[in-house]
Amino acid sequence: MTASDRAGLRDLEEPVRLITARSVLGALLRDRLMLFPLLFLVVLAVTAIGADFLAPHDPFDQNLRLRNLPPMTASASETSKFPYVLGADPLGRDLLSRLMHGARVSLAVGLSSVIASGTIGILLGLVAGYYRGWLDDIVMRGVDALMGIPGLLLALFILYLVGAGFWNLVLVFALTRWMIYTRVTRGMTLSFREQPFVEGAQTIGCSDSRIIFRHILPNLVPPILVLVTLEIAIVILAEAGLSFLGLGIQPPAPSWGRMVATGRDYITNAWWLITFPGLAILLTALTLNLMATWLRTVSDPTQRWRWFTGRSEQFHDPETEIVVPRREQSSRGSMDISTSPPGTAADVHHLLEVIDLRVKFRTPYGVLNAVNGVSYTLNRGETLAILGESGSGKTVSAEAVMGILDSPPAFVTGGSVLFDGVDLLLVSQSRRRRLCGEKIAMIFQDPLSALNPAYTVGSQIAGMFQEHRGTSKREAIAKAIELMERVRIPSARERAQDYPHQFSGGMRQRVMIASAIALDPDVLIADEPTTALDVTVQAQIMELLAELQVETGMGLILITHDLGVVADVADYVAVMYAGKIVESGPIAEIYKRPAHPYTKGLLASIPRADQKMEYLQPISGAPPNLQSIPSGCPFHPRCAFVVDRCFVEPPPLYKVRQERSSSCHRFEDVMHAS
Amino acid sequence: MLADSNEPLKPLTAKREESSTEPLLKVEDLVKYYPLGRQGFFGAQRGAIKAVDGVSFELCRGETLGLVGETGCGKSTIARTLMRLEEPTSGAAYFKGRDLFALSKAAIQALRREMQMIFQDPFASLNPRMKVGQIIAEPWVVHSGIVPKEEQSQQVSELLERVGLPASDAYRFPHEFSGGQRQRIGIARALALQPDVIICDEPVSALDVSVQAQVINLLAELQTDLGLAYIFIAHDLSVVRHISDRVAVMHLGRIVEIGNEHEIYTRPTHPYTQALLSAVPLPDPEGRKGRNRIVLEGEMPSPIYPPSGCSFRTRCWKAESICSEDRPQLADRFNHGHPSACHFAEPHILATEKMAGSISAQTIALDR
Amino acid sequence: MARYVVRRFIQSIFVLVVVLSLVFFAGRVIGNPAALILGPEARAEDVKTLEERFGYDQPLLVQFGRYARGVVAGDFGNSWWQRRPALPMALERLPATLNLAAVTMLFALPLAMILGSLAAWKPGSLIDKGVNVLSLTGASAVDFWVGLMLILFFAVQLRWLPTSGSDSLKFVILPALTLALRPLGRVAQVTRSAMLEQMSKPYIKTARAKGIRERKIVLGHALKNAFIPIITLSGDEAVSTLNGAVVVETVFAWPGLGLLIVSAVTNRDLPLIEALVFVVAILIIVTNLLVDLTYSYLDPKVRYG
Repeated sequence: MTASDRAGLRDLEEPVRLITARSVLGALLRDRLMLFPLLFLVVLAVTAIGADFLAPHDPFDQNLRLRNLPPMTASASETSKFPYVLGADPLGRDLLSRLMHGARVSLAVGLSSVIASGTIGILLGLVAGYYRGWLDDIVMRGVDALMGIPGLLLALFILYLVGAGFWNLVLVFALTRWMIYTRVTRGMTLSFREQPFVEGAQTIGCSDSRIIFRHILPNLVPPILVLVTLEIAIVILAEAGLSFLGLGIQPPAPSWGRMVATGRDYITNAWWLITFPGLAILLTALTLNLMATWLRTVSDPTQRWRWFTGRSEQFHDPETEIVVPRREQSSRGSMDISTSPPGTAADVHHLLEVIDLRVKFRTPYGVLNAVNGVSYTLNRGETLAILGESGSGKTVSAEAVMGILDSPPAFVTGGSVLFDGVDLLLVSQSRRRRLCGEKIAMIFQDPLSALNPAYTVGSQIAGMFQEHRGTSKREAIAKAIELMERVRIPSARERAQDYPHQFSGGMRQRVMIASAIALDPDVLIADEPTTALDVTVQAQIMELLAELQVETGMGLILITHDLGVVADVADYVAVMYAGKIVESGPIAEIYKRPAHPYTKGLLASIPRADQKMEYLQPISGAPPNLQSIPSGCPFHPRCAFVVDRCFVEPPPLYKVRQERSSSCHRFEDVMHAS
Repeated sequence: MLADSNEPLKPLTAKREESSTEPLLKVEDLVKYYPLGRQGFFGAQRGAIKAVDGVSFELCRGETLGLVGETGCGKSTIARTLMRLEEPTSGAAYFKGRDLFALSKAAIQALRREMQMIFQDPFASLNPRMKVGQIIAEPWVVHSGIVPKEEQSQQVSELLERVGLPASDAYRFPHEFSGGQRQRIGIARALALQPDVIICDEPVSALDVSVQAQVINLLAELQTDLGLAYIFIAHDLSVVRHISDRVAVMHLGRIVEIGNEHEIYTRPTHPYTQALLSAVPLPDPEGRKGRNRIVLEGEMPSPIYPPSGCSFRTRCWKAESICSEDRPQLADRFNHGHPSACHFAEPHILATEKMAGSISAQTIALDR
Repeated sequence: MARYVVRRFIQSIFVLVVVLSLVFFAGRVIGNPAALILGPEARAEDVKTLEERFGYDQPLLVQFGRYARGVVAGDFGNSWWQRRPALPMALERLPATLNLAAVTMLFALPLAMILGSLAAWKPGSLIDKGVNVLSLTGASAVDFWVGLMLILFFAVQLRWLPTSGSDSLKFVILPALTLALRPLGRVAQVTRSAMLEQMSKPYIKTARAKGIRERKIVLGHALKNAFIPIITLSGDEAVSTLNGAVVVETVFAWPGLGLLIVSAVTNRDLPLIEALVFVVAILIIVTNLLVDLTYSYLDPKVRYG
């Protein structure tokens, strides 16, 4: 995947947002689901800090008359008028007061340990990841060795050496938990170190410490925050466990784990003794874990979808989620303003006919209008190029034709796809699936990620025969080898046993092509098939595709951003902008005399290898944000031919002449301007 | 401007103080190998990726040298070693007469001011947590005494306007900008130190087609106005032709042909250059029937085990036994002023130039 | 691949030697074994007598030589607490813990993988939410308390199951259930996210474009790739059951390694601790070796370099 396509994907799927403290806090307050955990944490913190004033009784105040007092029974003691709400322990001490002081101990151990282990771990991680080399080797060997040992066992051993107690516990957790921070910080530092912005900082002469603390560390804050929250929970749980075993906080200091251990002896007659301290530990840990999960989903762009999809009912919108049944040919316009694809006549039977296709992406940040009414036709043996920039909707429209959109977030919201006269959007799933691969096949931009890394290439090609023809495995592999020979993969028999990662980029694309043409499809959709390849390999692949097309007579849809590739192979071209086809027609005519200012601008702005140009005529501005496509003609903010009308009135597809159409109010002026 | 600053910032105009013919940058026999990991704990070294394998070139003040080649030819590695983002394995690079690779760390820091770099990915090349103004002004924080603190915001505004962005953009974060705008910000940061050379590593290949021309034009404009020299690294032969004065074609860590733009693009003599150029798709649907395309057979050899002799011979239609025995040196065989490294170099006038009497590459390929 | 396994095995031996040496030196340099036995109130001459009796007053290297010879012969000395050879004591407890861990993992792993895959198949569904809750609970599980609550409910109130001991199959149910909570949640969660990640990979799109059946895409294509992180985690979780075993065996009086470890630490029994470290280290090494083998079988990039 090239950088430009990543950028395009970002435009399409993920409004890039900066995660700041303020935005996280704002989201936290807005998110009703998080209100309870937040409230609990606040109460817990207040309790822990103010236990001395808030606790109704002295947690150490013994009263043997109140031994194992059940909750909500006795009223006051001599020292206090408050009731023993949660009962009393075997020494007659108030359980609630002890719980409140226990909160202080738990939180204090949790926070101190996390501060200690976090500081050590993060610093080591930063240094190891930034300087790499022998330092990294030593640190990571240590981390790996320690991570392999069950933490509690390690903690027990250290406790054996140093003895129990608050600070010894902190020491134990500092020594047994720092590795997690180091591992995470180092991993991220390593990847950030390779980021151009860090290298940019090096090139302007920033010192190492400035790079580490000003450029790398601030970017690590969100994941570290998640980690710290998780770790507090883990430490609190571990402290409770150790105290339960009698190796942690020592009596009489109130500790939740110790309180459960005490209650264990009275399990048959005083249930409250273990129930309440246990609940306190559970709720604290649960809250922190919930918080961490939430923080992760909020701060990690790749996770955000999951939080969203987990609660999709909030965004449920039946009108757009259900495929709109096609009204019978109603989208066809009147005589001269035609929304039908170029060259369409009612009686002509096309191989593939796409009519007014629409696709929306429903995201947490609103609806992206990715494809807004795309129509085209393809005949046997023809090559149709769909030309467009990132975010123009060229790939999305092809995936909608193929029926392989990721849904959610993408939904086809209108239009029809007629293959051999049958509307693919209306047929059953299983029928559609059978057509895929058999009649319509597709190849993709990045052949490495498009091939399954866990299967040999031979078996991946053979899968086509097994799935659609029920061929035996042995026979299918034999056919796969034939296909590999047909796409000219040298020593095909041996290479069929190899895995995708053992092939070069060009060879992988040949494998993709082999599996695409396995069942002699009528239509092949090639989505940027050569963008990830070098120019000499590109020539090989394009030549192969052209040859195969001649042999099989299939129709080819070539999706690309490269005006040169289009000019080389296409019969027809459809230029897409902001989810619409803005111009379409025979290739030679369009390149000679474009009828849309965008096409015209593109042709004038690209440098050529065959001539030296004095000056490139750029198109001003940038492609639109799909969330807010400009009113009227979507191209008007960048257009040199713009008039008032363009701001308000979306141009229809005007029929320019036979087989040509343009979506510009002023197409005649555009064509005649030299 | 403060008097005590060690080198006050000059207004943004051309530097023409010295007009000697001495090249600004002279790279001699640059080599960069990436050693592969060891086999086992005590095992032997498993060899190395020969990313750059003996490259020499010169760059003059105010000119653009294009470096083209396919993936893995080593063009980006050259940029990274020149910027000292990687340590070279051997070789020398004289910048204004001083060897870049022999300098101490402190001397390098000072030199950073005169050589800057623009990166490929506009989405990753700006720190997402710094405002644009901070990003552009950071060089002045690192090199104190160039622009005093109170003048920095004024200078940032000027730089932003220079690259075609409004001054108010200084207070926004990078994620609020499109790819083209980000690349402009990257250019502004590179200009902040008033360098003599900017190394552009694929500066437009991540941009949308309709935006590429804006950035290319801006780079050209800045060169005219400020007298900058560029090393322009790209895989796109069309873009390189447009912006370069001279072009070096690289294959597997070596320069196989170097010369001025017109010579390379109209009279390439190395078969690899000829194949590359003939493979570039042209936005000319009518001319496609008349084109003779050299489609290479086979695959790019591994940079770990490059072929003996000429590294292109495994894919070359002219290769004979001498090519595997004797590595051809860069030599100007036809007095065109552009040397190429091929035993059988011959000027080949590309059919795309629509000149009569061209030798059909296809026929050559078929004859073999 | 055989070379890879052999290499890992040699590495493991190396790790074992390092761990045992570290434990030896830490036990004698950081802590004074004799003083630790006698406690903080002990008189100095008593400590000295004890040191002489067990040879802790000799030079460290001499002690180490004796220790090393002992380890090779499987002799860690006598337990101070029980006054019999330490290693057999530790080995006696091994079957009970292995038994408990095996029941736990055999119950937790398949269930977790099934739940996780189902959750990933239909994100946002009821099962998906269930898996989220499960993983949160697993991560927050207060195992000793959960064990006690289970005893309170099933043994004390309902009297369905015994409270503690290890006499029959009935006894393993409650401890295994307690121990299973964490791996169940974690593995389900990781299965889910690994499956989701694989399902969003381009090769899934390819498979769909080829017209492969959805069931085959999920089970054949995605799961096979998702197995790699799942197996890695399962190995980690298997090792971590030892953590849980310490607590859970204490709660249910399950006569395994965990219970013995707690006794060894509370009784400050250095020879027993050293023997236990040896046994635990070998357990971990074997588990990791198994994971590595599975891993290299599943991932062609490991298999073929």
